[in-house]
Amino acid sequence: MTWVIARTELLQYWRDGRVLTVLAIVLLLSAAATVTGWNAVSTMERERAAAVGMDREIWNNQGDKNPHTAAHFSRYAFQPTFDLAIFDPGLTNHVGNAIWLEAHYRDPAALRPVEDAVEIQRIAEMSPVWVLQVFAPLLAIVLLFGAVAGERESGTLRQLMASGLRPAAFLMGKAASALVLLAALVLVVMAGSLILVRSDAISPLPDAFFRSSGLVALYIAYVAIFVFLALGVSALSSRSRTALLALAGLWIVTTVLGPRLGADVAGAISPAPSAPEFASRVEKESSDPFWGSADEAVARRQKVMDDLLAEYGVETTAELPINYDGYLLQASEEYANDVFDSLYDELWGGHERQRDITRVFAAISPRIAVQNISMALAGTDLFAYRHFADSAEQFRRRFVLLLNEEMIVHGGADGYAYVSGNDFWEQNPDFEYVPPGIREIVPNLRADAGIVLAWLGLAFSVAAVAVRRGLVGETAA
Amino acid sequence: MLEARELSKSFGEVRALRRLNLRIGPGEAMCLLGANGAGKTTTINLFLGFLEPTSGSARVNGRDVRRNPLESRKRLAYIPEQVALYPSLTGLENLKFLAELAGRRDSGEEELRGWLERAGLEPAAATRRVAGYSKGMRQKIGIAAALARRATAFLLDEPLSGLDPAAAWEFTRILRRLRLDGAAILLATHDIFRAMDLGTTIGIMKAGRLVAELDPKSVSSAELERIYLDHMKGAGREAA
Repeated sequence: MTWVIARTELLQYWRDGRVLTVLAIVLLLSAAATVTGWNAVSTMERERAAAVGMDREIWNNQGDKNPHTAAHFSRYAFQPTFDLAIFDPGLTNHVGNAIWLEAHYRDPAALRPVEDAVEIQRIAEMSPVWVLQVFAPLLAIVLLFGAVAGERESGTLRQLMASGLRPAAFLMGKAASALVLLAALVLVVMAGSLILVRSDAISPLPDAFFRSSGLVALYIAYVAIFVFLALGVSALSSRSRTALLALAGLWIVTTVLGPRLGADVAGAISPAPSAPEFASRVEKESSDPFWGSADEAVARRQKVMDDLLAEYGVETTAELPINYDGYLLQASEEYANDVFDSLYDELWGGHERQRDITRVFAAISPRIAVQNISMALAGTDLFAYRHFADSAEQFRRRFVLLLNEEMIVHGGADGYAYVSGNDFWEQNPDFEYVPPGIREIVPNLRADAGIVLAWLGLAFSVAAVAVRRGLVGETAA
Repeated sequence: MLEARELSKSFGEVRALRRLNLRIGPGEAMCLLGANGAGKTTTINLFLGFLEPTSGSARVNGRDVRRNPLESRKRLAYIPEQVALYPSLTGLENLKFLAELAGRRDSGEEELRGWLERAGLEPAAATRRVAGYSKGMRQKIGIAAALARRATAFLLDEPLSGLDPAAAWEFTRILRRLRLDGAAILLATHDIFRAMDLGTTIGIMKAGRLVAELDPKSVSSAELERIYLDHMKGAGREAA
């Protein structure tokens, strides 16, 4: 009976010009968003490949130079943009994709919108997921606002009940017809992104199949929430026009106001430091306590020297078999690294607090939880960015150590006068980024997945109770 | 078969139906006459299971409607004053949907067309969208759906109102044929002449009571009209 109802509904959708018009608009928007996203990602990848090559060439040909001076000459770590960023660009366009790697400093420059990582999520951009997150619920509403109220108004509901129709079959038939259409929309949008990716040299994320499947399942669950909410509201409304107005209000709250309100409140409760403020703090706290003129800094440097002299059993740095300047530079690196870890943990923690506060608003907007899962699966969320930034930082530390060791081991008494040449630079490794696999991501999704499932359960329960009441109420009318 | 035993229904203080007893066997048709609010539609709603009786029972084909609402609707056809259909579907598609809901999923187009023909719908109309159908054509889809579900009991709630005389005559003819084929029919109507034409029993309802049961063979239309009007005197006051 469920399939009979679903098939008849689909036939009516097919013949309903309004449904086809809205569907066509959503598909056109999706197509435009997909092509725009593909173009943006392709351009970013082309530019990145060119920049990586240029960075390597400049590094290789920098000429004779002290290794530590070269460490200040610096290199870049460029974040690759992966295939699923076409589908969900997430924070890609806001966090930047290049980190400057230099000695003594963990570059925060790429974290431009340091003021508020959640804040930047508010900026609406046309992307396939934006179309799905905002317009797919609208399509569900257009399909179903009259599902019960309209049948009640036309009198068909009473006749269906008289023919022995069960409320459960009616609910599932109506839901199935809308879900078939909306699931097809999700698949078409997803397939559009993947087909474009295959036609271009954009790297796939690890576990791309599982990620893509997860995204399809996520968005089907998301539209199912609105399908059941629309059915519930339609069943509770005496007229289809009343249902449409109520659902339009619900759509505004759940897809537009909820996420904005959440981000605003998170920013107000847990403000992040401004970029200049954070950069200044990083520099001051990592440098002054080691290189400054305060007694504490002088004592710290003295201890480094004393420990080293004792280790080698000599009286002066001139007697050391290694270059002391290089050793001291590396010691300062190691001191600064602890400071960077602490400050960046604090910064990431602030962003995570904001995300947690925003997540509270998922109680009125399932889109917030869906956004979080979607960005995570597409590898464009804060976790993905942090993973890249931390990988780049680990590379920076290894790279600076490599350069400092060149000076320590081979510098001898030359100190800063010691120079290396292009033959050394050419041997230095490149930064090669390996993004996290699906196993690393899944634990981060639990809270948001729980919220989506809770919304789905709630929406289904509301629909089941409302349809049952609506149908029984109809028979008593 | 349709059977009411001491069937009563009250809405708060208002007693819409009082201790109704009736029995309509196969091949019988009872036509209920009465003013608005006399209890005709309440009786039909109780047989459909849309209302719970305050006391007594309604039975369809031997099944208590209250205890087995879904089972009792299986071989029951309901045709309201305005048969509601899906306007973007054709008559054939509406019928296919209603037939499939009744469990007739194996019905081919030929069989569906056969039912429409028996219900009196022009073959050319079957493939037109019902948005352009007249009321009489919609009633025929309702009849065809009843045939498709092999209904043995029919509940008709003022299906003749608004039909032109020719359509009303044709509709009554179809119902008479159904009755002769063994259907049990309960028809609520204001049309005395059609009631005489179709019914094997004429019931007159007043203020929730079945106040008279007549054999249409034993009275003329004029006598029935006089009896009906005599009963209706003061009906408005009593119903209030």
